[in-house]
Amino acid sequence: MSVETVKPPRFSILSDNERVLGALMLAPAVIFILALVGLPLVISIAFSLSDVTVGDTSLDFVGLENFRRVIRTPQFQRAVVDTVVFTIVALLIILVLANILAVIFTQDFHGKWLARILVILPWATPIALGTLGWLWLLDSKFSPIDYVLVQIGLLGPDTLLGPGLHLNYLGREFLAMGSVILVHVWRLTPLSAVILLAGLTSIDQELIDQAQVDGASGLRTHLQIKLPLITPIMAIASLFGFILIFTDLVVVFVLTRGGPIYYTQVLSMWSYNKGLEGGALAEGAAIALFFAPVLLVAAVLILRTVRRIEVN
Amino acid sequence: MTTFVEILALKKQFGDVKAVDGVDLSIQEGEMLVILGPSGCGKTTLMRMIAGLEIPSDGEIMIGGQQVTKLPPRARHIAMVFQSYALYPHMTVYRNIAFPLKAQGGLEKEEIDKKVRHAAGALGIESLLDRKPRQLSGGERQRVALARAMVKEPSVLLLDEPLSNLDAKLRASARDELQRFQRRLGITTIFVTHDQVEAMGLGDRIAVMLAGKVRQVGTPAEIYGESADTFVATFLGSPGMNLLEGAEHTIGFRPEHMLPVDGAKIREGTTRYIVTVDRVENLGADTLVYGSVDDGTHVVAKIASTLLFSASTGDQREFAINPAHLRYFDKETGRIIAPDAQ
Amino acid sequence: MARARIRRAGLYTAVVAFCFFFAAPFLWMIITAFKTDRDLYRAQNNPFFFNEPPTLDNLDFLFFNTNYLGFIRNSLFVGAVVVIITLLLAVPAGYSLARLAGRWGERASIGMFLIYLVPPILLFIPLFRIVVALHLNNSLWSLVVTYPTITIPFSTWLLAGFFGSIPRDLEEAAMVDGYSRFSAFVRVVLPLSVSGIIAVIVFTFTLTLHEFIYALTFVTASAQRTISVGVPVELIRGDVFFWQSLMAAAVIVAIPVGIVYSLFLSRLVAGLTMGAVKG
Repeated sequence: MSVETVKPPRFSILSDNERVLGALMLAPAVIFILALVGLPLVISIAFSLSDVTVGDTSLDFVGLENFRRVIRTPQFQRAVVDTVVFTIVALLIILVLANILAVIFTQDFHGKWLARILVILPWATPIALGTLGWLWLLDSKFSPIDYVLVQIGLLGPDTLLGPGLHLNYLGREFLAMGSVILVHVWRLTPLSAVILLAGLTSIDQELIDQAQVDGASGLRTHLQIKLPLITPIMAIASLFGFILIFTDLVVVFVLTRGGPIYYTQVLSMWSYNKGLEGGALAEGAAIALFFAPVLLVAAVLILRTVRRIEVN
Repeated sequence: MTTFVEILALKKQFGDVKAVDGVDLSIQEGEMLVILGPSGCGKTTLMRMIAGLEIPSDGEIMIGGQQVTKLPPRARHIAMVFQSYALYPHMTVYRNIAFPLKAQGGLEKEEIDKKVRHAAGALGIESLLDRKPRQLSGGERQRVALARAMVKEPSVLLLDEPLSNLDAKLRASARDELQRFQRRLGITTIFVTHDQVEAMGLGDRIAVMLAGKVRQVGTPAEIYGESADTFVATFLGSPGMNLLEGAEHTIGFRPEHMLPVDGAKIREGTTRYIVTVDRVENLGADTLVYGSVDDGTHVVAKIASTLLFSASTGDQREFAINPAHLRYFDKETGRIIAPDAQ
Repeated sequence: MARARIRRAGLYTAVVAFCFFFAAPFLWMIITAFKTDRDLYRAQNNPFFFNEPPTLDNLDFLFFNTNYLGFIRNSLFVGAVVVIITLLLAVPAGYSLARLAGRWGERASIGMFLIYLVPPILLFIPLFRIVVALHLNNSLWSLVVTYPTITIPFSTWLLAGFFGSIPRDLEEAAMVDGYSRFSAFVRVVLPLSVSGIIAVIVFTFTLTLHEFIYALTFVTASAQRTISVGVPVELIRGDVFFWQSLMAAAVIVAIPVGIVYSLFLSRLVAGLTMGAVKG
C-alpha cells in the first residue's frame, strides 16, 4: 500500500501560530484600554498633584497640596461619611430584601413572568430616568407619597408626622439622605435578588432533600444549609453593589445635586461640583482619587472570592 | 417475620406520565429489600414517596403500622442516604452527623455529643470528625452518610443508589461493608439500584420494576431461577436470558446453561441448537460466544474456562441444554408458563 | 391545610408588595404624563386619578417644543456606533482570552471585569481634557470614543466566559479537518455564538443609554445631548419643571429598554457568578 505524499499545509504565521494570533486578537482591545483608561488614570494622578484648573492649563507640580486642602474642608468629612453611610446602609437593606425576594421567586405562583419583568425594571432602565420618577414622587409640593400619608392620617395638622402637609424629602438633611439610600435600594435590590436566586437554584437538590429527611424546617434549611452554600455568590453581589453605590454620581445628581447645602454630597458629587462646575480640575481629581484605596480592596476581595469559587 | 413497611396500590402521576402505576409491596422487619430496575422504571419515585419527598397520587404507605402517606419526612422516623451521599460540604463530619439531632430539637449538647460519637464509633470514623467532606475518600463518605442516617435511630433506612458514584473496585468492598452493617443493626432497609449484580449480592429479597409496576418480588434465587416474565429473565444475568420464538411459546435459556457438545460429556435427552458463531470474547474466567441460531435469532453462550472450547467467526458449533433449564413464556404477555401447564 | 393557605396568601401579598415597590414609580410616571397642569398642580387632587380628562398636550410639547427627539436620535447614533466598535474589538479579545491565552486567560478576563469596575468618576476629568484637546467636546464623537472604555472591558469579559463555555471539540474537529485556528473561530465558533453576541449588543447598547457622567461632562450643547442627560437636565429649565413632559420623556425610553434588558438578564448573571452557577 503506498502512502500518498501529503503536501504540508501552508503554515501561516498568522492563522496557526496560536500565541501570535492570540496576541493579535487581544491587542486592539488592550491598546484601547491602555490609551483611554490607563492613560487617563495616570493623568488623574498627575492632575491631583498639580494646580491645573479649567483656566490655567499649565501643569505645575504642587505635591500633596490638593489633598491637604481638600481634607481640611468641612465638606471632606461630610463627603466621606455620606459615601460610606449611604453605601453600607443601602447594602444591608438590599441584602435582606434581596434574600426575601429571591426566596419568593423560588416558589411558583400565577403571573410569575409578569412579576419578573416588573421587579427588574428599576435595574434595567437608565439610571437617570428611573431616578427622575423618584424626583417627582419625593417632590416637596406635590409628592403622591405625601398625599397618601395625609389621606391615611399620618401627615398634616395634629398628626404623627405633621404639622405641615408636606415632608420635604429632598430638602431636609436626614430625609434627603434617606431618599438617596431609598433610590439605591430600589435600583439594586432586583439585581441582587436575581443573582441570589441563581445561586439558590444552583444548589444541589439532593442536599435540600437530605435536609428535609434529616428533619430540618424550611427556615433552618435556608439559614444553615442554603445561605452558607451561596456565600461566595452573595459576596460577589455585595461587592458589585458596593462599588456601584460607592462611586455613584447619577442618583445624587438627579435627586439633590449634593444638597441640601452639602449634606448629601458624596465624594463623586463633590468631585464633579469642584472639578467641573467649579473649574478646579486638580482638586476634583484629588477628591476622586480617595476612591482608589477602597476600590483596590474591593478588587482584591472579588479576586479572592472568585478563586474560592474555583477551588470548590 | 412481621411486615414493617406496607405499600398499597401506590400510584404517582406527573402530568401524563405514570411514574408509579399501582405498586403493592410488603417489607419485613429487619430485611434488606432491593428495588431493582432500569432507569425510568419508577424506583426512585417510589423511594421518594416512601421517604415523604413526594406525595402519592393514590394509594397508601404504612410504616410500623402507622399511616404515613401524607406525612412529611420528619414525621416518619426514616433516614435516607442519597446517591451523592449529600454531605453538607460546608460542615465538618461532626456537624453533619449532629445535624438531624439539632433539627429535631429537645436534646442537650452533651446528649447530642454522646450520640454523635456513638454513631461515629459504630462506623469506625471517630478520627474523621473534624474533617470536611471534600477531604474524605468515597468509602469514608459512605460511612459518614450512614452515621448521620443512624444517629437518630430511625426505624427504616432508605438507600438511593449509594454505590453508583463509587469506582468499580471500591464498590465491592463498600457493598460488603453495607451488608455487614445492615445485618448487625437489623434495621429494615430499602435499597434502590439499577445494577443487578449489586441487587443479587445485597438483597434478602428483590423487587424488579419496569414502567412503574413491580414485575416480581422474591429471593435472588427465585427471580433468577424462576423469572416471572421475559423482562425479568432478560434483565437479570450478564448476559441475560436468551429468548427464541418457538411454535407455541417463547423459549428461554440462560447463557451459562448452554454446553458445547464438543467440549463436554453431554447426556441424552438434551435440547440441541446449532449456533453460527459471530464473535468470541475471552473474559478470563468465562468465554462469551455471540452467534445466531438457524432462524437468525441472536444468542449468547457463557462457557466456563474449565471447559475446552475454541471457535472463530463463521464456525458452527452445537450446544446442548438440560431441559430442566428451559423456560417457557407466553408469546403475548411474556409471563412464564408454569411447568405443569406446558 | 389551613396553614398552607395562609402561606399562599402571604406569598401573594409579598409578591404584590414587591412588585408595587419596584414598578409603582413607572406607573406614576405614566399617569403623570397625561395630566393637565390644572390637575397636576393642585395639591388637593388625587394624584392617582385623572381629575380632569387626560391630555396629549404634554407629549405634544415634548416632541415638538424640546430637543427630545433629537436626544433619542443622538442616543441611537452613539449606541449604534459604540456597539460596532465594541464588537470589533471585544469579540476577538474575548476569544483570545478564552482559548489562546492559556492559564492566565481566566485571570485576564477577571482583570477585564475589574477594569470595567473602574468608575468613570476617576477618569472623567482627564478624559475631559483629552476630549477638549482633540476638539471633540460638544460632539457626539466624544462619547463614541469614550464609551467603549466601559463597554469593551465588560463585553470582553462576558464573551470570554461565553466562548469558554463552547466545547473545544468543535473547533478541534474543524482544525483536524484542515482549518486554521482563526478559520475555525470564524466558521464554527461565531455561528454558534449568535445568542451571546446578541446579549453583548443588548448590554452594550443599554450601557450607552445608562451612561451619565461622560455625557454630562463632554457634551453641553443641548442639541447634542443624549437621553440620559438631556432629559433630566434640559427639561428642567431654571426652576420650572415641565413635570408631565419630563415623566413622559423618561417613561417612553425607560420601559422598552427595561423589558428588552430583562430578557437577557440571565446571561449577565451567569457571568457575574463566574460560572459558579449554570445560568
